[in-house]
Amino acid sequence: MASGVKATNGKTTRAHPSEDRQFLVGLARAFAGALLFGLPMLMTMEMWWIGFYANPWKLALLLLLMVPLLTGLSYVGGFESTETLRDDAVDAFVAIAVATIMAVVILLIFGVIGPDMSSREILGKVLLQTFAGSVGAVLAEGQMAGAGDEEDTRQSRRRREPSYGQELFLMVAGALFLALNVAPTEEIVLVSYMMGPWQQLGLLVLSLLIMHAFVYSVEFAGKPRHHPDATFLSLFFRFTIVGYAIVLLVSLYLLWTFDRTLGMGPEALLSACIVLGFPGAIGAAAARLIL
Amino acid sequence: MNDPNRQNGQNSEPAPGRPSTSRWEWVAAAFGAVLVAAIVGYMVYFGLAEHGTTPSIEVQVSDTTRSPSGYVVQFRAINRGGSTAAAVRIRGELRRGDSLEEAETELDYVPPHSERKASLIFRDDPASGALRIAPTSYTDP
Repeated sequence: MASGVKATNGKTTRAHPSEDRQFLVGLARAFAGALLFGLPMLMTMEMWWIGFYANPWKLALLLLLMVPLLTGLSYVGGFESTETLRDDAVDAFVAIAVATIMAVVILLIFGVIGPDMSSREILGKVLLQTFAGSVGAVLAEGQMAGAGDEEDTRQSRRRREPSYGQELFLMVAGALFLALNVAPTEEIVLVSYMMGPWQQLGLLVLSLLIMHAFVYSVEFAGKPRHHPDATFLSLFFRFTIVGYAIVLLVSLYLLWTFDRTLGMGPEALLSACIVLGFPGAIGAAAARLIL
Repeated sequence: MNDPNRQNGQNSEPAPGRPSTSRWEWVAAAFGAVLVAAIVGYMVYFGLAEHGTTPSIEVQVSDTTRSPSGYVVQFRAINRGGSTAAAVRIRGELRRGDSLEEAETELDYVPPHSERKASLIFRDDPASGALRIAPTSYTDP
C-alpha cells in the first residue's frame, strides 16, 4: 500500500532498494487485515445467498460507494499523512484488489464458488465479501505497524485530530462496517419481530447511552481531546445524536440493499433499523476511538 | 497532551479560545434530534395505539400466469394487525364442480402493516373454477 511504503520508509529515500520489500510487507499486512475483518462474513451463509439473489444495481451501488469510503478511511484513518488524494485512492484500490483476491481464494477453498456456477453467482458472492475485507486491508497498515514504527504513527495520529466532518465520516464508516457484518443475517429481522415497541425504545436509549459513554466516559486511548470545555449537552447533541441519526440512515440503506425493506410497514421498518442500529452505534463509537 | 510537532502538521481545529461549534454542526445536531425524536414519538404512538392487537392476514390475488408446471397464482399477504405473524400457512382451494385441488405455502414472517408476496401453483386453470386463498395458521415469532 502506498501509504505503508512511506510510513515505514520515513528515514530512507523513496529510491531506496528496500522499498520493494516494504511494499510487499505492506501487502502482506493488507492481506492479514482483509482476512481478519472479512472472515466472519466469508463464513456466513446468508452472505453467499444474498450474493446471488440481491438486486445487481444495489450491489453495484454498494461497490461504487466503497471507493470514496475507503479513500476517506485511508485519509482520515491512515496513520501516515498521505500527501495527496491520489495516494489515498491508490490505497483504496489496492485494498479492494487484496480483498477480492482473498475472497476468491477462500470461497474457492470452501467450495462456495466453483467453475460450475454462473458468473453472475460467483461475482455476486465475491463482491459482497470485498467490502469488509477491504476495510480491514486499509486499516491493517496502521493497526499492525511494528514496534519500530510506533513513534511515527503516534505523532501522525496526534497531528490528525479529526475535524467535525471527519468525525461524522468515521461514524458512517464504523456503522457501515459493523452493521454490514450482521445486516444480511435472518436474526436482525427476527429480533425486531420479537421485540415490542417499548423494548425497541429501550434499545434506542441504550444505543445512545453506549455510544456516548464509549467515547466520552470510558477512558480508552483514542478518546477525543479537543473539546475540553464543551458541555455534556453540546457534545451529546452535536456528536452522539447526530451520530445515531447517521447510524439509523446507514441501517436503512443496508436493509434496502439487502431487500429487507420490501413490503415492510413503518413500524416493522423502524424496528429493524433500531435493531441493526445497535451494532451500528457501537461500530460508529468505536471508529471514533480507534481511528 | 501537548504535542510539540503540532504546528508541523495540518491543524483542522479552529483557533483556540474561540467556540468550536460552527453553524452547520448545529444544523446537523437539529436534524439528528428531529429524526430521533420522530422515531421515539412514532414508537410511543404505536406502542399505545396498536401494539398487541392480533395479526390479521388478508390475501389478495395479484396475477395468474401459465407455466410448464401449471398455473402460477401470485398473491400478496397483507397483515393489517399490530403484531407480527410467523410461519403463516396459506392454503388455496380450487373447486370445479366436484373436484377439489389444493395448494399450500408458508411465509416466514408477515410484520404489522407489511406485505409479503408468494405464489401457489395449480394444475387446472383457476379461471375455470372457484378459487379461495386464505391463511390457515400462524405462530408468534
